[in-house]
This record gives sequence, C-alpha cells and structure tokens, in this order.
Amino acid sequence: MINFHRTLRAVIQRNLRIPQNSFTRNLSSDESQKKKEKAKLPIVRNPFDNAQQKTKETFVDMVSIFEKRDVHRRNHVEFIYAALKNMEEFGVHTDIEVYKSLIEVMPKGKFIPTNIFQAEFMHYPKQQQCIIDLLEQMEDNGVIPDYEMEAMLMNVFGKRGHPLRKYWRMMYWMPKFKNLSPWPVPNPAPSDIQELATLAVERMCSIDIKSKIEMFHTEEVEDSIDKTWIISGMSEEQSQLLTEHKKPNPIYIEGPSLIWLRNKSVHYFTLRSDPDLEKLEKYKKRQIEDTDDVSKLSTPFFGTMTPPRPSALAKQRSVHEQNDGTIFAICATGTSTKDSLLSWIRLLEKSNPCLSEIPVLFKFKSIVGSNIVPVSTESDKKKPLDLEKIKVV
Amino acid sequence: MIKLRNFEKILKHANKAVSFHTSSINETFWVKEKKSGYSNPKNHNFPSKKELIVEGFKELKSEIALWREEVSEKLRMDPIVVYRPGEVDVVYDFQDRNDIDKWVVTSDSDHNEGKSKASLELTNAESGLFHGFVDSQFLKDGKIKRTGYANMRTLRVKKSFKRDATFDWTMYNTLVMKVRGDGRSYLINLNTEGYFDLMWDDAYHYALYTRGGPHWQDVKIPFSKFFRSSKGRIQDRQCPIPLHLVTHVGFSVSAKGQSDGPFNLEIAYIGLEFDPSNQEEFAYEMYQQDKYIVAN
Amino acid sequence: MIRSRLNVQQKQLFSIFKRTVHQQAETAVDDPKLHHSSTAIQRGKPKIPSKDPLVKNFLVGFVDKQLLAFPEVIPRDDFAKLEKDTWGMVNYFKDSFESTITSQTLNDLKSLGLFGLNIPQLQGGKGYFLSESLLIAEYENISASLGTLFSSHRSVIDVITECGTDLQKEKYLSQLADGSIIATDAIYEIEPTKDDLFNTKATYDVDDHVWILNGEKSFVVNGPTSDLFLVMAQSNPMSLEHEHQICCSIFLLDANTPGVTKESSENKFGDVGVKTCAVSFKNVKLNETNIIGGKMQNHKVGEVYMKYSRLRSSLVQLQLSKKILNHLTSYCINTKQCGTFLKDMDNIKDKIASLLCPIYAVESMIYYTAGMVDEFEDQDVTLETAITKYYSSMTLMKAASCAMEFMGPKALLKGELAEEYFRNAAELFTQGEPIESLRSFIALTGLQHAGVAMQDDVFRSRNPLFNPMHMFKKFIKSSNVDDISTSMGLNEYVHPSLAGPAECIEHCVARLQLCVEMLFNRYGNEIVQRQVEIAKLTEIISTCYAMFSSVSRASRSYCIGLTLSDNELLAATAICLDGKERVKVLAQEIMKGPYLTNDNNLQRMSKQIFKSKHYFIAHPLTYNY
Repeated sequence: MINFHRTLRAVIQRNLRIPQNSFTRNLSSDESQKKKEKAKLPIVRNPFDNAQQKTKETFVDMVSIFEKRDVHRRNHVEFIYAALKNMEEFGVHTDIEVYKSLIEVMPKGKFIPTNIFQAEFMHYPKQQQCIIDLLEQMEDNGVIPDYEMEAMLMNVFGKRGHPLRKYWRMMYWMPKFKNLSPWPVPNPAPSDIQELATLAVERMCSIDIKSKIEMFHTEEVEDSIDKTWIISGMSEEQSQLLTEHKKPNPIYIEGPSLIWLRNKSVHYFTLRSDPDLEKLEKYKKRQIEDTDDVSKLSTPFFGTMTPPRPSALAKQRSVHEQNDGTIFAICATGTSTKDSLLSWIRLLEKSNPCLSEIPVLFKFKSIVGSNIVPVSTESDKKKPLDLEKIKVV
Repeated sequence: MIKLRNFEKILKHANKAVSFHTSSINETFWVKEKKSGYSNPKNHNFPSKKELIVEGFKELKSEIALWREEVSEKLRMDPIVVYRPGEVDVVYDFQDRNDIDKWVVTSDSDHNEGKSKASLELTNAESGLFHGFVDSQFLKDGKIKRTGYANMRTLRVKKSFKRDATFDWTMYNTLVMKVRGDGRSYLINLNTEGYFDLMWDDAYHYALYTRGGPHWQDVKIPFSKFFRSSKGRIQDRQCPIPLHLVTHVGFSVSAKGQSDGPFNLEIAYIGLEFDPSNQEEFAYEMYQQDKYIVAN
Repeated sequence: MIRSRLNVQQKQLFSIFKRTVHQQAETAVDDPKLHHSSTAIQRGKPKIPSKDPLVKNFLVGFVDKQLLAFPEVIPRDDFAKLEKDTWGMVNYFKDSFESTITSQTLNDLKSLGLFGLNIPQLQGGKGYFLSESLLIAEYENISASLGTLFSSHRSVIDVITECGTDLQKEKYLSQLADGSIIATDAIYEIEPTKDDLFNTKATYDVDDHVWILNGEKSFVVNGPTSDLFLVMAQSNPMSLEHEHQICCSIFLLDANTPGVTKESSENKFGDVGVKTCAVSFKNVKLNETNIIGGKMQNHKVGEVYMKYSRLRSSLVQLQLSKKILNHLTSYCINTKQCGTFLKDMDNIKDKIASLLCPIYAVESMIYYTAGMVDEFEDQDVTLETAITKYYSSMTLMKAASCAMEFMGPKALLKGELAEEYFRNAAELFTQGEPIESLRSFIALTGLQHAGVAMQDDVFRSRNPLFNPMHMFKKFIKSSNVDDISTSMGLNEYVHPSLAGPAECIEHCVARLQLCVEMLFNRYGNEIVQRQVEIAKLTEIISTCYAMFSSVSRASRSYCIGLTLSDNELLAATAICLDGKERVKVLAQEIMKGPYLTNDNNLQRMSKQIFKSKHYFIAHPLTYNY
C-alpha cells in the first residue's frame, strides 16, 4: 500500500502539467472569465513563471481564476503542486491565507471516504498526498495552521483523511517547539543590518544581565576614516576586570566571528585578553574549602543579610573570566574594518580610561566557509597596535 | 589499507535527516540493513577477508586487556551509590586526538546529496570544534526534496571484542553540556538502536540553542524533554527515552530556513547529572483518540 | 516569696523551693544603700551568676527547666514603691495626652524624670533597672512618638552605663538624666555597602592622634533635636584575617561637633510623630574619648546596644499592637452589619483572639527577657532579645493589616485612628534593623552556638565511611520529626493544666534539634548561605521561645491567681498548639530538603525572573498559532 503511494507520487511529479489559459495572459482582465471556457488544452509551461508581478495579489488572483475556470477544476492537483513550488518566489510561502486558498481549490465532499476500507487505504491518494505535501511545505516554512484549516480539511477529506492527521500532528508539535529558544529572534529577522547587529550583541551579552548595549557613531572620533556605527556591549563587571588587567600584557581585538540570527548572520569582534592563570588558580583553590567545620560560623552584623564569609568576601570568579581568556567587550561595526575597531577602542576609552595604558593588538581571523568573503587577512596579525601610527595611515 | 577504525567509521553514520516532519514516512516494512541504503558497499573499498583477519588479530591484545578490565570491574562490585546534585559525570570530552576519533562526522556531500562540508577538530581550549558549512543547494534529480545538513555522532558503544553495548544512564536525568556556538540551533540526537529492524532508527532528540558570542554556555537539558523519532519523523507514539539503551550521541545542523553558510559548534564536554529539581518524567502529553487515527 | 504558693506538685514545689532559697539567700544581704555605693548602677536585688543561654541551647535540644519559673525581679516591696512613684506619670498621661511633642511636653517629661529612668541615682537619674524601666516606659508609650524617642535615648544610655569609660559617664550621664541633652543612635545607612559593613568610614590619623569620620547616616530617629549620636563606622577595611565585627568602631558624638550636619527631616509614609533625618559627617575629628569600648571590644558594645535597643523598641511595638487591638475591639462592639454586631460573628471572634495570642506572647517575651537580664549576671540574651524584636515586629504588622481587613477603606481614612496606627506601625516595623537581617541573625546566632557543641558529631556524620560506628549508632536511635517522643519532664515545672503546652514545647525543641542536626549534616558550614532554610529555622526558634515564655508566664499567673488568669492559660495553650503545628510543618520541610518541598521550584522561577528582568509569563489569552 505504501509503495503504491510512492509510485503515484512519482507519476504526479513526472506529469506535472498545468493547463495554460488565462495565466499566460494578463491576469486582471475580465475577459479571462469568458476565455476560460475555450482554453482546455494542457500545456507544459508553468503559468506561475510567466506572471509579471510576483506579488501575493497576483498569486491569489491566479488561484481564484483557476477555481472559477470550470466546474470540474480539472488538474487541480497539478495546479496546487505548481503553486506550491512557486510560492517562495511570490513571497507568500509564509502566508497561511494563501495556503488556505490553495486547499480551497479542492472540491468538497467528493474525497470523503464512505467506508472503513476507503478510509484506511487512502481514498483518493493523489489528492491526499498533494495536501500532505502542502502541509509539509507549511511546516518547513514554520507556518502553523489554524482551526479554519482544520474545518477545510475536514470538508475535503473527512475526519479520517490523512491530511487531517498530518494537520493534528502539526498542531501538536509545532506550537510546542515554537517558543523553545531562550533567545527569541523576531520572525522574520530584521533586514536592517544595524538592527540585526543590536540584536546580536544583545544576545551575546545576555550572559551578564548587567550588560549595557551602547550605540556609538565613529563621527565622534576625530580622526576616524570610516564613518559608521558601532554597537558595543560591555558590563560593569567587565569594566572592572579591564581596570584590574595587568598593564604590560596586551589585550586583543579578535574577530570577525559569526553569529546567526535565524537566517541572517552578523560579524562581531571581541575585546579580550589571555587568561590570568594566577588568578584562575586562586579561584580554584578557594573552591576546595573545608565545609565540615561548623564550629566557627559567623553571624550577620547590623543590617547585613548574610555574614561575610571568607569565600563570599573574596571576589567571585566572573563569567567573563574563562579558561581561555577574559572577555571585556563585544562589538559589531557597520564596516568591520580595522579603522572602525580603532574608533571603538577610542570610544570605549571614554568610560574606561585605563584602556589608554594597555597595548591593544588586532587578531584577525578568516571565517571558515567558502561563501563568506574573508574580512581581512592581515599578515601583521600580532603586531602591537600603535594607535598614533595607524591613525595616520 | 584501511584500518579497522576506519572500517568501523564507514559502517557508522549519522541520521539522514535533521529537519523533522510529523507524518510517517512511506517505506516497505522490510529493511535490509541499518543504513537503509546509505552505506552502499560499492562506494567504499572494503578490505579483503584476509586483511580483516590479520587486522583483527592485531587488535586482539587490546581487546583482551579491555575484557580483563571489564571482568575485574564486575568482580569489584563498587557501583556509584550516591548521585549528588550538581555533580556532573562527563561522558565525552575533548582532551586529545583519541577523543576526536570517537566521533564520526558526516554531511550530505558524503552521499552525493548536497554540498555541505563538516569536520571536527581539537582546539587549544581543550574542546572539540565541529565546524564547516551547510548548503541547501542540490542536484535536482527528482529524488531529493531538500538537503543541507551535517552531523557528528559517536561510534557505537562497545564492550570488549567489539560486542555491541549500550550506555546505562538510568541514574541520571539531565544532559549537561558546555558549548560555545554561533547562534544557530543544533539538534541533539541520542540514538537507541534496538535489536529489531523496526528499532534500528529509534532516536530521541532535542534542540540545542546556542547563544553565540565568545562566552561558554552551560546547557542543561532534562531527558524528559527528548522526543522520539525514527528516520527523521517524529513518532505519534511518544515515550520517555530509555536511558539504559542509549547507543550513540550526536549533533546535527541544517541549512533550514535559508540559513546556508558556515557553522561553528565548540563542545567542551558532554556529561550527565542527576538534578533533583527536575521531577518531570516526560514532557509530551498523549491524548485519547479514536481508533486507527494515531500511529497510522 | 509568692512562689511558695506553688504547691501543686511535690516535685514542683521542690524545684521552685530550690531556686527560691537561692534567691532568698542573696536577698538577705540586700541593702539598697550598700548597692548604690558598690555598683552605682544597680538598685534592687544583686544579680546571681549567669546560666547557660536558654534559647541557644534549644538548638542542641536542651531546655533549662529551672528557667520555666517566670522571673520576678522586682521585689514585692519595690513594686509597691514603684507604683507609688509612678502615680504622677499615670495621671499625666491619662489626661488627654497630646501626642505631638512640644517644648512644653518635653519640659513636663523632664520634670517627670523620664529621661533618666535608667541612669543611676548618683548621676541624677532614677536608677531603675531594665524591667522597671520597661514597666514605666509603658505609661509614656501611650504615644508611639514618645516611645520611639525614649527607646533610642535610653538604649544609648544603657550602652554608656554598661560600656562607657568613667570619663564618658561623668560627661554625659547627668546631662542625659535631666534631659538637657537627648541621645539617639545613627547606624542605618540608605546606601547599601559594597564590601564593608558601613559606608561611614573612620580613619585614624597617626600624627594628630585623632579619628576622622566621613559618611552619612540615614533615618536617625529624633535626629533634628538630638544632641548626642551613637555612630557605628568602619574603622578597618574588611579582610579575610579579621573577624568582621572588629572592623568597625562605635563613637559617641556631639551634634555640635564641627563637620556634623543634620539634613532636613525625611518625609515618608511611616510616621510616629518623631522626625527622622539624615546626619552627615564631613571630616569630623574625634579623639579616643569618643570611642566607646576599646578598639577590640566594639563587638561587645554593639551587642549591648542591640540587646537594649531591641528590647526597648519591642515594647513600643507591643504597646501599639495593644492599642490597635483595643481599637478593633471597640469597633467590633459598636459596628452592626446586616443586623449582627461584628463582635458576635465567629470569624471576627477568631481573628481578634488570634491577634491577642501573639500580643500575649510578645509581652511575655519582653518581660521574660528583661527579667533574665536583671536576674543573672551578664546573662547571654542575644538570641532572646532578637527573637523578641522579630516576633513583636511581625505581630505589629499582623495587627495593622487586621485593622484594614476589619474596617476596609475606613481604616486608611485620614484622621481615623486606625490610619494613624497603620502609619505608626509601618514606621516602627521598618525602623532599626531590617527584618530580613534580623531573621538571618536569629538562626545564625543559634547555629553558631550549636555548631561549637555539635562539631564532632557533624564531622563524623559528614564523613560516614570513615565513621561506621557513629553511623550505626545514629541509625539505631534515629528519630524523625513526624512522630516524636520526648521525656524532658517540663510538665513538672509548670501548673498541671499546662502539662499539654509544656509537652508541645518539648516536641518543638526536639524537632528544632533534629533540624539543626540535619542542616549541619547536609550543608556543613555552607548553611550560612542557605537563607531559605535559615528563615525557616528562625521561625522555629522564635516560636519555641514564644511558647516557652508564654507558658512560663501563664503558669505563674494561674498559680498566683491573677485576674482572668484562666484566659492566660487559654492563650498559652493556643500559642503552644498553634506553634507546635507550625514547627512541625517547618521541621518537615527542612527535613525534606529543597527538592521535595517548594523551595527549589521557587528558586528556579526566581532565576528566570531575574534573567527576564520582569514578569515574564505570557498572557493567558495568547495563542501560539
């Protein structure tokens, strides 16, 4: 039985022929109504290819024209397949109304099984499979169906129809998965780069709830060459770590790295230093504390909620102090160039004066992958950044 | 000559699909081999029987050593009795080359189904970097509907003498990982390959959302959240993952939703924890339905 | 002694007799004149050597049965004299007393000698000891404003008399006694500190041998008209090496010292009629004479101050609670709802009575604690005073919200008595130590004591594999909190009608001990950071003390037949029954641990709240498709 479906589907795919009629012509004319009676010849060409304006309106028009063409709606399965294929081009692949209008093409009542055998052996398999594929396309595009669609499917295939089962499965799982992400991104992701960059930096900085996201303009820096924006994220704790940074050791601007927000990606740069091994060792030692000794508990003094405890009193390890380095700030700039990053450091200096005393190095890395343009392949990777010099260049 | 390790690599492969669909797949009942056509021996140069025997003898020594260890472990009878909250038992980490060799990386290009590429590398930060790019372009041969995926999966858990074994994680209830991603979401696959062909493709999944950025991310996922699928289709009959039958651990990434491009997932470790705060047994409720509607 | 009337039971008689004999032997040498000259502080009875701390020992499962006899520290003769002495006060406060403090009022108060109640007679005060001064303070507490003013004034005096140098005593006490200067404390700071205890810093200038004080204190009670401040300041940075209390010093500071500025008074909802204001210090130079208690003794000074201030402010809260109860009573008597007087409604009766119980408990605790202070030499009452303050604060808030429940919006109408009470209550509740801090103080002070006693046991239990015998023994005598049996024999020390409540105390103490043991075994010294369990433990400890002092008091009253003492019996019984149930639930929760109770759920949710930074839950009508 199942192989039978598969063969059928192959047949459907091979013989995808759509009758050409008014679609090839200009659509909005009234005469299409009259002409549709005459045009009965099937034709290989895809009517959706020939539409001049690929908009939702045209798409819906085409569907309604097909519906009105004749009572029998011949080749409606082929029509739906052709429509499904072209939805993305028309920008309607996430539009539930359009999917509904396609289901609406199916005749009502005819496909409803009348006995148990029909029900179980996929009554009208070609039609059922067609709508299952339609639903699968919705699923691929993250379109959750609604109750009206259930009613429509019920009218077409009856309550034991396979499309309806597919619908129920979708209605069970899709909402469950929809909001799982702890970092929700608007759907669709914003196309404005700056907005996207802000979202990206906010997301990366969500590690520290006290992070502050700032937007800088390089115009504020006197000698900047690139006039662009910088989205910078830094927290109080990171500022503190920066001031505690041992001065002679350099810090790096590392990047560009990639972060994805749905189907869009943003390049970002990190201001970091090598790990302070001494400090990390200290933290480690502190962790191994004898907890068995209860004879020297301290009590809180006036107004404090907990008594100070050696380990609580000593500084806790910050999330920014990782084994592979300490992270001070993250940014994304409009141009991702060295100059814009230089401006970033200059702008950060305003709130972190200690930056002017720390040598800053660039550590550019190209991104793995072929279809990404390498941002920079500087040979002078580890050369200390002499602010004055580079500014002149 | 192909070493036995590689041979095993050929036999193993990860899940075919990474994007889920909620309807059952059309297949005949009988399945010839575990890969359902994905490990065509014609594509690979198998060593001859003789070579296999010679290679096999070479491994005998290490296998016997392994067996001895197993026996003495059994005789010692020193099981872990207390699973304290907050204590993570690491199952996989990436300290050296050997740890990398425990994994098999595949992508659609391995089966001539697409152009994605992936690899797993050791980093300086003692972690494994699963990276590459996923590409949803494919040859329109009429068979493939969509593509663009990459997987990494562990080798089958084995006892000495290459006997199949399974993990026993029944004492834990949480999967703990330390990862650093790129903002993409990945799929965690826990395969529970069964004895019968019907159960060969049983797998349990959950999404791994990564924050992105330079900071490490501690992930804790209760096992109750894992859902069951077979051959990339979520099953109607759901049940909690049988933690004593886990055979593989894997991650997948896909180019779904036009997210073609590079991906980066750095994994420091994968571990297990008993977290008493997580009391949930199974996250997915089941409904009473008319006969022959569900799982049909 | 009246106690000899307690001839209810043979054993009881014997025990009481023992203590009485002991006291009588001491009182035999009692000669007022002699005492004035010798200690210069103490009038009345001499103190007897201190006992082991009462409530602290609850945590290790020990109850001092002897202490079940309610302390009678004011000898019968003195009591009569006291009543005679206070006639003036009673009359003064009876005649429609205006609660706003004018200069005329202050003069009246001065002439009544209220400023010097607890100052030795030599320095021109009345020389009352704690119980007496509390008793008299009840009269002036007719207005919460006076109560607050005097409670901080007298607490400072207590500190000076107990810890001050002779020079300081000479300098301040006589002036404080006649009211020519009014003292207050300046401890609370509005800005939370980062690492230290106080933002106010005192640095020692080695060259000039002076301390330089910088910083600001807020909510200084009666700040605008005070002349002497007791200031706590950070004198050393916090460090790992030192005990943290050593890092601060306590200064006595004249308001007119250069550099001291009184800010304008604070405008807040809570109000008792006494103005509070911020006091800032800018390079205030102080010398050694300003420090109270030597450099290393400041912990003790702090404790002395806390002891008195907690007890005195509890009394103010108690009096206000009583007033609210009285007000509600008359409201219920006079209000008719749908043909029924409120007083006849069962739920109202229930509420009124369950308000009376905690008030009764607070009153018992205050005088029980004060009695211990007066009866024993240097008795450790840290925990008792803290509990009294905590319990009275909670009771006051309960009473205040009860008024709103009963009266509705009328309770908050400007000019209504209930409204005034509510604002008084809000002020008193928030004054001084934050309640959350007090809460952790109580449990941790107890645990500190218990930790010393239980160290060995805890160490063995936490390393079970090294101490199999210990574990085996533990297993054998394992008892659980659900079903507990005790044989402390407390019932033999109280009136037989209170045998039931006495058993409740036994059970509660036994449960408390089990909880402490469990917490130590589970967390070791990390218990200090487990604030949820700490709060529960505090609840148990304070309930135990409330029960203990109430039973002790009720037993005395019933035995000597005070008016309506059978109702005291009822109150004590109610407190004990209620307390027993509460303690049982809390103990069960502690035993179950965070994962089997709601604690962990709450912790997890709070994590998300802080992560989302707001109420994060989706609207109930949201669709997801």
